[in-house]
Amino acid sequence: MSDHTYYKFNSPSVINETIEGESVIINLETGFYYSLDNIGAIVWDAIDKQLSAEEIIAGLSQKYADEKQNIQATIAELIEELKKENLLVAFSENNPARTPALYDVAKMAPATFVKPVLQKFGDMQDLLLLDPIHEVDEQGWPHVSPDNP
Amino acid sequence: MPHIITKPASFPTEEQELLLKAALLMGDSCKEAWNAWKARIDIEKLDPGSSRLLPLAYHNLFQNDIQDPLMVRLKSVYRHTLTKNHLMFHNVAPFLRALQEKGIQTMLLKGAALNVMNYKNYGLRPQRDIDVLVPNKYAEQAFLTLLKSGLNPGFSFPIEKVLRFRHSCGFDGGVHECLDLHWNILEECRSATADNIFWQRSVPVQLNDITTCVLAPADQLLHVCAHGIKWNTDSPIRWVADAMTILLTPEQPLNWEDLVVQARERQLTLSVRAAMHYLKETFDAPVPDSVLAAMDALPVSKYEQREFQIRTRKKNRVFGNFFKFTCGYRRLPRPKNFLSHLVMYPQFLQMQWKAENIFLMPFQLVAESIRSNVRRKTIKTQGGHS
Repeated sequence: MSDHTYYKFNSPSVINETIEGESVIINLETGFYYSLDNIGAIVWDAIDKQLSAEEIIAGLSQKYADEKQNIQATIAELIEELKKENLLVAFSENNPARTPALYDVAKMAPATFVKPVLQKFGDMQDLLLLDPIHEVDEQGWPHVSPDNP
Repeated sequence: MPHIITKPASFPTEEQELLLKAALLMGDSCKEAWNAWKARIDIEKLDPGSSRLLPLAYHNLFQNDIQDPLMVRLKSVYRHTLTKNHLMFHNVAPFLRALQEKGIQTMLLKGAALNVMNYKNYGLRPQRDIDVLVPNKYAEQAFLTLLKSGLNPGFSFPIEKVLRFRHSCGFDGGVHECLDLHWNILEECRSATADNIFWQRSVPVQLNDITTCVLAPADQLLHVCAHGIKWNTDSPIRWVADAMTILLTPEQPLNWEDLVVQARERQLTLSVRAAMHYLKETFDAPVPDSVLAAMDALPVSKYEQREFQIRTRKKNRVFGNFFKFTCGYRRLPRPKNFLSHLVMYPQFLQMQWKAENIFLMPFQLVAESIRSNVRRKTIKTQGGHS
């Protein structure tokens, strides 16, 4: 028996899209919107490609040899947070849906390790009423402009 | 010879055409159009029609490796559209299920159908609501089912009047639970059997656990052209993008003969002909020359010519949509005698204006005229149609 833990997106409640290196995740049941970029987006992508948590950590540890301890804790923490938000569900390695992993985490990761942060946005009804050109800050929707409290 | 050789007023302005090219064309054509558009507009004061094209423009500019400081703002609109459309589909799904549990077949129309079948990416095309068609004979049952499910129609008229004089009715259950129920596809074709052929050749689609359908590609194109090129203060130029996306969906070959036949039978020849010529000449759309020739050769009645002019020209400054609505009335199944006309016509106008009191309609006309002129002035300053 392998001690690897595999995850999959909690679909159909959770939908996601990667836009210019940013993973946009929407939980349709709760109405929350999430954003992951940098290492976070790579972890999300790797989960989509059906890598186990251990394989993701191993790939990142290979890339950032000096950060090995930090990486293990950080990625475990991120995955825990994603599970807590009901964005991921665990599944068995024997799940027939799993295909051989072809995603090279080390190759995809940027030069420097930056701790991934899951950004979460609530009050979707209000956020969707915002004008995405004029009522948002320089990061764009759903980041509300300070002039539009 | 084609009857229409000039561009109708409802077609895109020069600025809008540039944005459409940036959103639809590839390589240098995309880049040149984008740079020319940027030089001519102020994104802070964009007309509504152009604003709705920004997500598609973002996607195409990104595909064409165009770097621009404005991309952050376009990406913002793209994220907003993606989220809103996903939530809208999700929130409307229970109402589709409720209709199907009653044995009422459904068909997605307009943006909903195009997003699922042609764009295949919910971030590209904004939609205000989800348009759902039911078979004409089930219209009343569908209406009551939606009411029972907690949705509210936009007005409080008796159902039989709404079903008789309108071809659709918007329902609202909250901010992102908007469903537009249709019992006829085209407002120009309102008989009980008008949509039979569309139902027969519809294409099944799956929305998670819901099986529904969409129009066949030729019928979809007909609908986009017939609906899209009517003049509207918001200048909904996205019909160009919608039509191009249908034409460029490779896995769905289009039966051109069906398009020509339906355009002729439904007296929509001028709309489809003008649209096809425009798409071919301006965007190099893959419309066969033989189809253009066939469209040009179709006979067009004087009534159709007049109707086309009314529907595509700017709203009358004094009478508003009065003439457009009269065209709609002319398309209804004919009443038996003149007396019936006298009763039906005011009721029809009341439904179109959503006037609570039939005797207040003249005042409503004046109010709409004032509102429309103020809005027209605002949009003119934003680079859209005046």
